[in-house]
Amino acid sequence: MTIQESVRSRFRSAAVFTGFISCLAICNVESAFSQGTLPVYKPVSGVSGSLKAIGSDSMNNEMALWSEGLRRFYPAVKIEVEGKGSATAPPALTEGTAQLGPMSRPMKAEEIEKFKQKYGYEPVAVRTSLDVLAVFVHKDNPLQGLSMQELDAIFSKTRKAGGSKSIETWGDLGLKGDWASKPIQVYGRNSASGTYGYFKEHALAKGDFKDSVKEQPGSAAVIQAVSNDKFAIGYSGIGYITPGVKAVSLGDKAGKPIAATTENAYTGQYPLSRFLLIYVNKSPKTALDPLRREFFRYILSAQGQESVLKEGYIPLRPDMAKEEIEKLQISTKG
Amino acid sequence: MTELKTKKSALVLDKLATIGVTTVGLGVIVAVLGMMIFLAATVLPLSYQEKLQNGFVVGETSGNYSFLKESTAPVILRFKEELLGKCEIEYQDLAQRKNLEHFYLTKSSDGKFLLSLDNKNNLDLICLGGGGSSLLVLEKSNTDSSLRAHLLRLEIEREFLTEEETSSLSAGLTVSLDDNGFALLDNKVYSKPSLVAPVAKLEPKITYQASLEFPNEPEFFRKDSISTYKHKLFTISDTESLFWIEEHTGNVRAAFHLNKTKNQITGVESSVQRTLNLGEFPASIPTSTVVGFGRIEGGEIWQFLQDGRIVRGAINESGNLTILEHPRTVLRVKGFAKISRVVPVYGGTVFFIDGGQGKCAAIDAGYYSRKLPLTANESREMSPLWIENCANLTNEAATLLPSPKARLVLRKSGNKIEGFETTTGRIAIDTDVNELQSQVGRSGVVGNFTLSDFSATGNHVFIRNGNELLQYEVFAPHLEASAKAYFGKVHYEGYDEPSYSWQSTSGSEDFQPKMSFIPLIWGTFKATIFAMLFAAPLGIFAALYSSEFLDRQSRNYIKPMIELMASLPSVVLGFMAAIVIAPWVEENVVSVVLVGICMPFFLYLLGTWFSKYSATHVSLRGLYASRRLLLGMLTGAVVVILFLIKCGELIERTAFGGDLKAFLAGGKGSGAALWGILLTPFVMSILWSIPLKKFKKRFKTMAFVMAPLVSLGIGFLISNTSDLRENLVSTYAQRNTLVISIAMGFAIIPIIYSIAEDALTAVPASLRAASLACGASVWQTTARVVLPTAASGIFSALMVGLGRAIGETMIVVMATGNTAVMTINPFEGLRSLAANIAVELPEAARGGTHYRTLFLSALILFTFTFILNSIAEFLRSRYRTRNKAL
Repeated sequence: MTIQESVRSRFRSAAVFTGFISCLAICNVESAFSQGTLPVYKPVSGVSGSLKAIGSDSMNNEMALWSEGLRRFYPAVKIEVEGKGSATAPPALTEGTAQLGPMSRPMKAEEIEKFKQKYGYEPVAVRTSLDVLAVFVHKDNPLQGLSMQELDAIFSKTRKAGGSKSIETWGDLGLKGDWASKPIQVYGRNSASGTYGYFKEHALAKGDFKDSVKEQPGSAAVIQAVSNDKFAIGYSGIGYITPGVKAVSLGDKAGKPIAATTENAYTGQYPLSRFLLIYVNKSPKTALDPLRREFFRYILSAQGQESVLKEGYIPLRPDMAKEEIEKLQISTKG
Repeated sequence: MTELKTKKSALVLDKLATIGVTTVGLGVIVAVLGMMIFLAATVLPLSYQEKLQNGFVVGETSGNYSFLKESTAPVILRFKEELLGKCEIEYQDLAQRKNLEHFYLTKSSDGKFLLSLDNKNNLDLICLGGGGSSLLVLEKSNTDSSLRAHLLRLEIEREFLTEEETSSLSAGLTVSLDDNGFALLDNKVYSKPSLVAPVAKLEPKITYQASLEFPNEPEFFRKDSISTYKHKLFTISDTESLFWIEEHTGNVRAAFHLNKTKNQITGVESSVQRTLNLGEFPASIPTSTVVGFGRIEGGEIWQFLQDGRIVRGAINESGNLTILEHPRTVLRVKGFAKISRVVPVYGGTVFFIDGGQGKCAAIDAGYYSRKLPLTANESREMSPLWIENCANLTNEAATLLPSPKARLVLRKSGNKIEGFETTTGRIAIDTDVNELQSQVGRSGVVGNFTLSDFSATGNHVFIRNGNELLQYEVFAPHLEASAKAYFGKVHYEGYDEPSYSWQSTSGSEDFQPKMSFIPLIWGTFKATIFAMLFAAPLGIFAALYSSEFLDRQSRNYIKPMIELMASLPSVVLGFMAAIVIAPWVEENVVSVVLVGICMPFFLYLLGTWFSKYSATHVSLRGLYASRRLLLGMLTGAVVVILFLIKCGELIERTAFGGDLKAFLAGGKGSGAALWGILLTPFVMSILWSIPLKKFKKRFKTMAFVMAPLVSLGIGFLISNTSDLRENLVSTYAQRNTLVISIAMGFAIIPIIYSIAEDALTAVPASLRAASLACGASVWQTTARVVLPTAASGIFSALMVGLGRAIGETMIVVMATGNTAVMTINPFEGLRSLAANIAVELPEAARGGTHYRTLFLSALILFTFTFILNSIAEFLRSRYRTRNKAL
């Protein structure tokens, strides 16, 4: 199968369910997606005990919703969630202080290394949902789209994406009239967050932020600041969008503007989308214990993916969820 | 007469109380000391000297070895180069200093490469070299005189065993697992790295990466030694390798391989292999003059020549290499007329340059590849990031060895071995051959001591000592930490110029952390000074007023109320500042600044005016102003503030072109207005202090009108030569220092007020009475008797307020953008030491450089507040003893 064919087949198997719920959330996904749905979760017997999750703060609410959902089926189960940032997950998994490591970025080679040194095998990364990072401007801003180079020149002092000159005012982006002379107020996430690191790596081409990028303590704070400041620009998860701001489209390599939508995230065309992962310590030759098995089965089910939507993230396509179930060897038949 | 006797229970209680108080007191001291020790212990490892340690002899070695590295296990795979017909790979457990296995590279009948245990001669294969996990192999065609070069990748595959398999296995284990968890059984290697890990069977595997065909090379295999053929293999990153081989015609061919990259979302894998013809890289240059070569992040290939020239090439879409420079164009590194050695440094953008004359430098090729025009027509000298002296002991060129996982380059010149940290150019490791030899109990021939390779993790370095292979541990846990990195101006990768920067984290692994404390210290003091400018006059004058002028009754209400302000949590203040104050101030900046500047003068006016119409009355404590005056002043102040706000709007429209932000950015209006506003107070005080007896009265009122006009005039004259906007207030950010100073003022005004007020009331009434009795007015008494007496107390009030402002965290975190800028512009944000710790510590990996650096910044902050509080305490005790004497 050629690459194109495989891509096309993936398109075909994409979900009605996901299409439907993401329609409610963000945009109009044309029902190009045909068959395939997420399984509905059904409880099994013999599940008890407690789990601890340490990791990403952007996944805090998701984790809380999932554990709440699971506890509805198994009231005796205890799940403790500690979200201090993605970087806290790998050491916790390696030291065994946590059984689940939610992360908003893939582990670095170094972190996998440390884990491998202790266990011999690599931790398993389970994709749980999609996060689309959008670039927001004030709702009255006439700006429609940005190229990745322009984005880099607004946010970065190193301009590794190749912009020749720093962009300081809205006029530099071609806005006319009153906007032209107004300096751009740049907002971003705090340096501890996974979102900050992700944006730095992908939007700034591993460059550095300008010193004048104002760091906000949370995703919602960025949106709030942008909606309060008419001449602001900021980045944050698409799920946090409010009527006060609007997301601009970003140009791909060929310069074609790509809107921050579910559809473009699934196809991988939108340049700033990422998977939210949960890392788990699973030996390749042994099965997951019942509690973790049911936890993953739940989050990869229709109910679990609905929680994803509640949090403003994008659910997995059913074929992706199936891949994850196979990866963990937890399919109900087996 | 009954004897007076203390009750027994009282005595017991007394004893208990003594013990209790002593224990708690000692406990506090121990706790504080404990914290100090913890801080010191956390910070101390930052100062550890980097070194090569724990050396041992791995074993005998003969011929040239290339190292192939497997990162997880303390195992290396090394293979002997240049053995015709034999590609031997040794699989060795370094810690146990024993060979685990020998493998031989062969080709199976279906044309696949594999490793076998059979030592059979395979005359069609030659191993040319290896590095990282790649090896370069030549294969002779069976049918014609063509050759094929293959790039192969060697990996260790792990097959994990189930528990049943493990138990059945251990019954037959002839060798038990050693310290590193390796065991050999039936010619198979098993590993169990830790108690919790399952047993795995290890198997080295060869995967094919790329190949390159040489159509007509009949000579190649006939040579006794292949070393006459120039070849080089570069492992650029985990995903990229580049190799080049010189054909017998002298033409240089290269293959460039991109590993499989996977689109994380769609799972589509892509893999690219390109063949480049480097023959024209410039054809006129013999390869022997090339001292270094590498591909940089941006995609360009840089070649460094002996005579100091640099030739850039770029790979286009179709895989052809084009030379970017015009043949006559000369690119050089400034200050390097000759180059003797060059290696690429970890991170993919910087080259370490050895000039051969005791001068070493780092050049940011990634930066210049973006800055230089695509086809440069003029010669250019590029400035290095830094230039440092390095040892130059022999005529021979030094050898360089870059670490694969850190910005560290080992350099050996003669007897000396130096390790350069390439961010600042610091010599982190400074040792010599004799020292390293004595570590392993050897001595003697120094000339045969050569740097071989780093391990995959960069934690070990292999060195050849004659016929022996030595291994050393690279002890550099906090390579990035140095005084220069923390306090010096550093030219970072990708930056235009040396700078003080704080940007400590990133998502990418090869990120260069920027950890200069200077912007943080700057931010801390900026916030403190602006907050004090706002809070100190208000706090002290409020204290003066309530202790000297206000009647007792009102004072009894007002003092506790102000002190209650101190109980507002700073989170609440910060939140208010960010959500309410910041947007409001943004809308009314001019008014806010105007109120700040003009209020004292208007208050003075109001005061003189009101005091004419209200009586003052005398009491034992002194002379108190009436409540009518107080009320009148308050109403007056409100009216004035409203008036000034309206004035501000008017000024913004007339002087700043109706848009302050655009004005500050230099787009609108003239710089004269800014000068005018800033000069007004000075001009006014000058006008007032001119001793013109006759006209004085009329002149004083005139000054209010005159001062702004005069200063505006001066502004017009100066603004042509120096526009303040450029270097003082070039931008306006919504979350800024002005907002901070207001919010922080709320936090520290009660502290200053409370302590200063206590100090003022503590001045004995007899002093006031004496002064008043001698005919001094209340103000004279206050200014010349009470204030000097209480001066040290007021000073200590300021110091305590200052200490609080320096350590203030939440207000700064929430109400500034935490921007690590270094300007004095009050309309820009800041990043303070305390806020930085609050933001970054939760994410910092325990025990890492970032973590310890944050603790070091905490120690610096502690030093500041400790000094301030000590001064305050010292002064306070002095004032206590002085007042006792009165």
